[in-house]
Amino acid sequence: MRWLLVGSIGIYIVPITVYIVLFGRGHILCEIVLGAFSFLFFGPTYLNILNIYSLCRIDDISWGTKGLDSGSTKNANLKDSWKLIKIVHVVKYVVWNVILGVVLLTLGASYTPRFFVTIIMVVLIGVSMSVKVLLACFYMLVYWCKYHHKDGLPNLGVESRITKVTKRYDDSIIK
Amino acid sequence: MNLQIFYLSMMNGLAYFAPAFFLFTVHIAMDAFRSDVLTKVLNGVVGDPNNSQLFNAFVYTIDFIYVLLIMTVVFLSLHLTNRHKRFIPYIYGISTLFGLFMVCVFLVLAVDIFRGLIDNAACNFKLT
Repeated sequence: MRWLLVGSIGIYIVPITVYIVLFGRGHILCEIVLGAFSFLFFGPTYLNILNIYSLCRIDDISWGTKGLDSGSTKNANLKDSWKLIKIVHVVKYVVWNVILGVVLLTLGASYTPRFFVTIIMVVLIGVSMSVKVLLACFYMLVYWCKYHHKDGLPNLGVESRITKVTKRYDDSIIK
Repeated sequence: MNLQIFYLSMMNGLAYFAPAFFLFTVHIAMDAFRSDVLTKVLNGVVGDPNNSQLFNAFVYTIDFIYVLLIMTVVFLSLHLTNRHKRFIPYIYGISTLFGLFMVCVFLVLAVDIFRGLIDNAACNFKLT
């Protein structure tokens, strides 16, 4: 277990140290530490507060809906139904989180279930991060293989793609 | 494409349950803080810390504060908009408190891991 922890910490520390030693750029470390601190500090705001606010304003149809606030009976009914949808969603959100919170805290009360819950959470986070890294590498590879031009400059082929799309819809546009 | 949709759905699912997961993390970190730091600091102050009701309530008090803050965000978001005068200071304050919570949790867990690495005690985990 100890070597597992050493290994997981080493994954972060070794590349940073090598980078600083090889390239002599100490300020990179400060940037990494400050970036990690701000990421930690703002994480709960992004994950909790913005999510909750967006869910609680799901009935806000004031944008891009010209004429809906004209005050007719139909629009009032529409607004009422949106409010009902909002209340249902918020109640579901709170109830599900309360249930999961109670389950996790109950499991966390004793040592063995807490160990397994923690492992599951770590695996879940690890898998989500790995999928992101793998997909990023895959798209990078595809980008280099497919769009890298012979004279060293990337050829994104945007124009040819636009032409293809416009050709596909030419008939319907003319009609 | 299907993989991307699966990944985004999974991340959305995790974000949906973020308050519950964060509560669990805060609970674990505060429990570690209570048993590692408070027990030693308050040893002579509250008698036997392990049998003190007040001392044992520390973790649940932090949990309660966290739940209270989350419910405040829900309540304010339901009734006020982001342009409202009262909304802004409350949300900024709660956001700052959550940020401090997160930094504290990270520090406590990091120190706990390092202490585990430095101490020569063998891993005594046993499956019951």
